Amino acid sequence: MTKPKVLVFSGYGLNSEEETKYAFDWAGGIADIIHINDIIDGMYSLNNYQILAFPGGFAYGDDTGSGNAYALKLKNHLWHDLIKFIEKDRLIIGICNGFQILVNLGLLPALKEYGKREVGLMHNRQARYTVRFVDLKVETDKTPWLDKNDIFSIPVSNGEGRLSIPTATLNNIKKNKLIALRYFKGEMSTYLDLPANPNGSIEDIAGLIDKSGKILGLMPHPERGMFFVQKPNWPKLKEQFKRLDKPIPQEASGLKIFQNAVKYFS
Amino acid sequence: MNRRGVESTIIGEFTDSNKCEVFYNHKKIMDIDMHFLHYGLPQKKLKTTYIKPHHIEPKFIKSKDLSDTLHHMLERLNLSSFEFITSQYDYVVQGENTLSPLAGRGRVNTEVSAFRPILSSPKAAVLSQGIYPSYSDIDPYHMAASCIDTAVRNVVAAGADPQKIALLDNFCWCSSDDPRRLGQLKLAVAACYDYALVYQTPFISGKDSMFNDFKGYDKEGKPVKISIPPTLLISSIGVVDDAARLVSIDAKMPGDLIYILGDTYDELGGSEYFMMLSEKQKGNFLGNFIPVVDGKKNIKLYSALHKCIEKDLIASSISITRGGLGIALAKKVMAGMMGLTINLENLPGKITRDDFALFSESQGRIIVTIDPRNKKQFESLLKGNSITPIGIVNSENVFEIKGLSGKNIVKTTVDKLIASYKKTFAGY
Repeated sequence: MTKPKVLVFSGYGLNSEEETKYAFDWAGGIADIIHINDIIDGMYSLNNYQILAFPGGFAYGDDTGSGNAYALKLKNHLWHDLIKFIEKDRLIIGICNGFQILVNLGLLPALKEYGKREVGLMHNRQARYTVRFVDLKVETDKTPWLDKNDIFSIPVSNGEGRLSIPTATLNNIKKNKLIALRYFKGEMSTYLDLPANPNGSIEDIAGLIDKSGKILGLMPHPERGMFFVQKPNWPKLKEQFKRLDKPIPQEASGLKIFQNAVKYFS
Repeated sequence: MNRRGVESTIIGEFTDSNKCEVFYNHKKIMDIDMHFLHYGLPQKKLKTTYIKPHHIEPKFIKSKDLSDTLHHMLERLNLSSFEFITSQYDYVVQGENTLSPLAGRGRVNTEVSAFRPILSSPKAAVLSQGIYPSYSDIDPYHMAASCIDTAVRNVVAAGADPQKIALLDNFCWCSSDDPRRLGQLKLAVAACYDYALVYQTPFISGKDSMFNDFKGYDKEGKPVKISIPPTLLISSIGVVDDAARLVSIDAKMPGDLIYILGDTYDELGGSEYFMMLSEKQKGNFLGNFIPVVDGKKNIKLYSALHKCIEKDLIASSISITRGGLGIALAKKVMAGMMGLTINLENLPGKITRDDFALFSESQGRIIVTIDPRNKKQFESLLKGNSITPIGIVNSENVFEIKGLSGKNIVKTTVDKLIASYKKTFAGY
């Protein structure tokens, strides 16, 4: 199996690059963390990578809106390289702040063309930064990032995670099957007795893809829910497994997204 | 620095002149001998005094049923849920969190968190703290000892190795030019020294802030001074070799046995219970007997408990802190969303009243639950320590406690406890 090379962007307040790299490496890829300025300076080329990852964080302190300034930096310096990358059979993911970057950059959902902002990630309905675990189900079979049967129980951790979409755009998104993930009342929100939707996101949407299916953006953090001991209920599960003489697992559901992507290139 | 877009400028260099020289626009604007900079300040001498104060005890009303009292305690600011703050704090950042600050199905605020800073390593760092400012005006020495014991005990209860714990001290004092306040400070510092030696826990850092006083005028123009109580925060950091060996506070399985480790005494001076009685009786009834910490006895117990945790014998574990045994039991079952039945007839130590049994803040105590199949091994590993079975976890929504004489003193439900626990900050 060939190991795909993954470029994890860093710099200016992105802060989840270490664990995003860990996730891709664990899933069987080879990930490099690279500062955006070093790509702009030509020290690294997107050409040498099969996957681009924009991780979570708070680039530019969320000033002028989460993800906006980092998106502008990409647009002003790396736009042509990005478009060339997208034209090939390669994958891009944006997680949390990374999703906000992709939306502001106009790579998602990109109904007409790449480069136009069509949807917004607004302040959560409760007007609070919110950390909690959620459950996600897959809504599309159009992306290698997701398997239709995948279910994810992973955390959200954001202040601006409420997807807001004009009605006409939403209809168009549905028609093209670009809704990737929806929040639903699954294992974890039932366990924690919390509503399925953590922030009032429109139609419980947690993630989107573009028309090619190669670009995925999602607000929840799969890399913060890839180890068994990251789950909020692991101490209870461990006790149950132990008493049934079952082995205690290492992995949690979040790892699957990274495995799906690595598998695409094998 | 330039490549990262960070502006940086060279502003000086180290020299062998033994002087600190500063130039601005080529003009020398500072020239001080280094010896003077380091040693020029004459040692300040301060006087301390200490007279042990006597405080008024609250009035006690004999009450057979303490259910309402327990509910009122759970509603108090110091004990109630503050999930609305916790869930706005990114405790899962960088994927490190491995023991949630909101425990179990009931999402109960815990006093211990654990993190895995290196994802490729199974090791976890366990963090907690101890703070009892309301004890300071009774006895600053045992106030500090209680902070240290609590900080150590909390991380041990979660699985930290008692041999691998370090502490930090944060002193927030008041009027530190007043010999009486300095006398209190001296006693607190003495306890830090003594107990760090007993527990073999180095102080690796700390901070102090000595004048937390407000001076101003009241509405009639008379001068007023308001000071915080002398406050010591002890933070603890411990290491767990395998994160999967961490123990959370929530009760896990119906039928599990509930044990209390450590002894309970009539130690309610400055307690949350006395604070509540003071508010109800409209006075300041601090009391006079705060917990006295027997460090040698405690560290022996903590080491024995750690052996049990290493052998995976403990299903859940909670350190008894502010609010006492009643609050710790409530948190355990609220987190696990399970019931319990408790009998305190054989509660070890020396305790004279049922309300004292529930709300005494005696240090050195932990409640654990275990799989009944582990009973023999658990008891044998803890032999020679104070351990007493006091009840059983059940699957019903029942929370029942029999008191020192075997009569029912609390009869309520876990749902009702959760409603009280989450009431104070509901809607925030």
